[in-house]
Amino acid sequence: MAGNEPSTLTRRTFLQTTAFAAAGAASLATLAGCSQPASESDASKEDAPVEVAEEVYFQSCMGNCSGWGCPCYVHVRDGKIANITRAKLKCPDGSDSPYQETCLKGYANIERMYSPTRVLYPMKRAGERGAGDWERISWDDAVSEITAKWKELQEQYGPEAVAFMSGSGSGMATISYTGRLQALMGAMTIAPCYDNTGMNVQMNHGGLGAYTIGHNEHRDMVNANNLFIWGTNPTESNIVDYHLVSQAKENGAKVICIDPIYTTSAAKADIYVPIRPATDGLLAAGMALISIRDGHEDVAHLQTMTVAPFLVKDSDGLYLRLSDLGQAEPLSEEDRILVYEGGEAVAFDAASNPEIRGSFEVEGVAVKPAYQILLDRLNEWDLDTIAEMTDVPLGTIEELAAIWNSGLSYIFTGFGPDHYANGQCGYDGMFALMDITGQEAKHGAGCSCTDFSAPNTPGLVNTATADLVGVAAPGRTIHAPHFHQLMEDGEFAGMKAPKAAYIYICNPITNEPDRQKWLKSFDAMEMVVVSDMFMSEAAQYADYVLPVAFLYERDDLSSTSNPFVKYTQKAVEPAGEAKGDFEIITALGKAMGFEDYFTQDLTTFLASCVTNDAAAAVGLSWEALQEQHAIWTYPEEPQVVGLTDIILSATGRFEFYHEGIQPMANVGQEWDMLKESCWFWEPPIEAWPETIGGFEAVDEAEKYPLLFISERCKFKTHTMFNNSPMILELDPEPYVKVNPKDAEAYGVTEGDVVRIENDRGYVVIKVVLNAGVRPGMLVIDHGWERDGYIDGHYSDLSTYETWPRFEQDNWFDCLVQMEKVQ
Amino acid sequence: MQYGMVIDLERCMGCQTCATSCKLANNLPSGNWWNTVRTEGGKTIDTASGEYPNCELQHYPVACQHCKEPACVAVCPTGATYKDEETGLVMQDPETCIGCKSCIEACPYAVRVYNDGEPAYAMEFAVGFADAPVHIANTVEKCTMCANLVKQDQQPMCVQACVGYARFFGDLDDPESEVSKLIASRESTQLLVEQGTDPSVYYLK
Repeated sequence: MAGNEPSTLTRRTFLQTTAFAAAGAASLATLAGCSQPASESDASKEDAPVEVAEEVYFQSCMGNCSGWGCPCYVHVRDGKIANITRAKLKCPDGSDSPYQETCLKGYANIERMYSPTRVLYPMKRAGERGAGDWERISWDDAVSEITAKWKELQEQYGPEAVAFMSGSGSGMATISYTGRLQALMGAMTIAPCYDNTGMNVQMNHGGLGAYTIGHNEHRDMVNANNLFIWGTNPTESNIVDYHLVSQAKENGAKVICIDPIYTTSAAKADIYVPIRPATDGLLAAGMALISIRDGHEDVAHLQTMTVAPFLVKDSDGLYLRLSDLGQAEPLSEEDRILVYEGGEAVAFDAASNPEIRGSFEVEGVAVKPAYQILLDRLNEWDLDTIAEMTDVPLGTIEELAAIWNSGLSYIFTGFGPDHYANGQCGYDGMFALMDITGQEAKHGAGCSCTDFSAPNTPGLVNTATADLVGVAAPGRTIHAPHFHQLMEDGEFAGMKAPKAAYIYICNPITNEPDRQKWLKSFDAMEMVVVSDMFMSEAAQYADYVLPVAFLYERDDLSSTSNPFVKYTQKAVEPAGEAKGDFEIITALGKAMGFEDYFTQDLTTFLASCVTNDAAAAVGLSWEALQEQHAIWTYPEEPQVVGLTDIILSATGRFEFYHEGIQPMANVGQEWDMLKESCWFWEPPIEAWPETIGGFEAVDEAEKYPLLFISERCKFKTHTMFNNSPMILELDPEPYVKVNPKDAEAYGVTEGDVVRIENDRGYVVIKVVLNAGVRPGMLVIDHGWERDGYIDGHYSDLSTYETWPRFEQDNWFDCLVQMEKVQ
Repeated sequence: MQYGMVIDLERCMGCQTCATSCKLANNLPSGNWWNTVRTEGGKTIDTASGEYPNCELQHYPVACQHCKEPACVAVCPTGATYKDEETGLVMQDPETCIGCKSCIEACPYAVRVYNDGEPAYAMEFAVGFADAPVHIANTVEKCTMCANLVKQDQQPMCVQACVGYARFFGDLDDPESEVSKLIASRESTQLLVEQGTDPSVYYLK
């Protein structure tokens, strides 16, 4: 594949002096506070040009914010990052890469990097946990004290006495090196569980290819005739992609926004459809029922691309295979799934026009095509009930179905439905609609999901643990929704509670639901180590905090969700005594006695990640990256699973039916395999405050009638950017957005202070009126930490309860009450 | 020549990238914003007005409009605010500015900021472009349409940075320029036309 233009931007060739005309005059600030020193522009403006030495480095933003690991250039003057400019990467066809926006936050990275909240030295707790008393210690002491404790705990309680936890902060190649130490230690994993439902349903459906996960890569959106923005608000949480929505619209697409909240995306759409929260799957079912009624079933698509014709045994929900008839060895390659054609069961690949409806008996075994199971599930609902449940008028559902079937239709979704415990009911409904009507596996038809339907670049292979296969492996995983039970009970699902944790690229105390539980779980451990760039809330509650180098202070590799493999080059020395994750883990690893496994230097490690056959095949190498910094290693054409990319499901087809489905984590929960194997709809666990359509309101609703959700707003990426003064000037404090009618009912107005609470906790916060908030809902921007609130914490409100199928953080599945603080 | 800007309101999603990129590029002091994104809707940014679900919400990015008939120039007692003959840009000479704020009073767009005393900064060193404008105590300042960049044949930072590809820069007097063609091909509006300022920023509807 073609290299890219930034070849002109290597350090060597771009080290230059640029002549600029001096602008302005007179001395600048005195050195009060953060006033800046007088610059060279003291001269009058008629003076000769001054020369300013500036180095430009290719760099990247972190890429876990529904961004695409957004590349950028950083400009160094006097040893400091002084400016950030937008990248100018080209696609192989010479057009500008659509994945290189630097958003409002990207330009604030300089302020983050030089923030007073940077952790500059290893710190050790010197008072009560969370009290803010710290003692600066040396790296040598930090490493020896931490590893001595780990050794002691592992000797006494076993390898899983130590746990590692990571999140989605600045994810780059060097971060993965932590996994090496974890494997060698056999330490357990504490897994945060954001977006698990949303991601796994897509992979379970078969929206997983070799190049792309999540159906259609985002670039394909522009080919749609009808774009349904459904379960996401890209104008806040995926702003770097909104230009693709604009382009689709300019290409003639009708844009429909389905959301409980009237967002900017809603305001810009052709049609806004307000919907009752957590009922998206029912709306999809209604559209599917109408599509079938009106003859828009795509039978050929169902027969050839989906599991529709596969015969499912009534007895156990498993597919009927040749082995069931004694005609093949079970699990052998010849053991074909059977379909029904011409009055008999035949191997699926021997049939040309298999039945997709009905029920049959094959050698005494009662079976149905999988599609019949889906139809039976859909037909449990009538359109009037769906209209009542979703609060979408029947006429609107009819209109949406008509639009859906009028051309190439495409769902741009995100992780809104995911944040309710019944999220799967939403996505599985959407995918069933796509399967039934054949709106997938085509350019312009299918589905993209914010920060998920992303390019997966060949050639970048993480080698951090490659040589450990058969040598060492990490311990077991406890997922966040069950972590606190493990810590409270000391034992859970065969695991023992860890005694120590190493937490990196993660701030679980603020970002995970039910913060009070996290505080208790931290307290239950003998030693918590947090490595971070900043004094996050998790760091504030740690025993040791290790200072991590900022993105621009280290060499690294990244391909996060971008067609380019990127070599991001260290531009300046780390602040204070901060170190890169690679160096930190190497030091800890050696001190743990794994000297033989930590002999690599950083360059050797990074080079090894791009030295493989796949890399060679696409022109990727360490040497090439040194020159070009960013190399496109991805197919030129936008990838669409089922069209340009293979469907990596168990059957090789789109699966609206999941044979033998098992829960993501088997923790002894009640498990109804047959129910979970195909679309159904049930209310969320808590966020069902009214009795509707025969579904009883939850008991909590009597005390807590309001539904609280947190918006993934543009001013933050989780808790990142809380330390950027310019972002704080735009968005200075947290507030709760309330519909004016609710405000009136609760006797509050703009600027009033309210206490929002439930049994788990409370937050005291200012009110902002927003007519776009659905009555009965309260919205707070996600990411504010403890210091932002007048009192309490919004993360104290949410629950860790989860659905049996997925280990999932269900922030939105949360009821509260609100009262004015006098 | 009259440099001007076209902003496509269909494409603009109110993301504030123009505002923060401007703030960085021009090394703006704390509290100063030359480029703002205003919400037509509720009282607070990004909130809607109306009655759910029939709501209204529209963003307007607003900076100096570089008017053809600038109200600020007309009232400036020292000539610190002037219309640059070569580019048509409304410029501000901080050396001549006496900080009387007449221009702030006169400007209908609320885009000028007064440095009340010595400017303070979030950063301890100068950021943005090396030739970013200086900021001087007790003077008024505003968007220069990144005159420093334009001089080097670069686009203003907000145009370079616009994540929504909603901003266009060029010579309004040249009928062949991209901006002129956009204005000719789409329905557009200027802000507060009744003020008679004839702004050089056009908003495509």
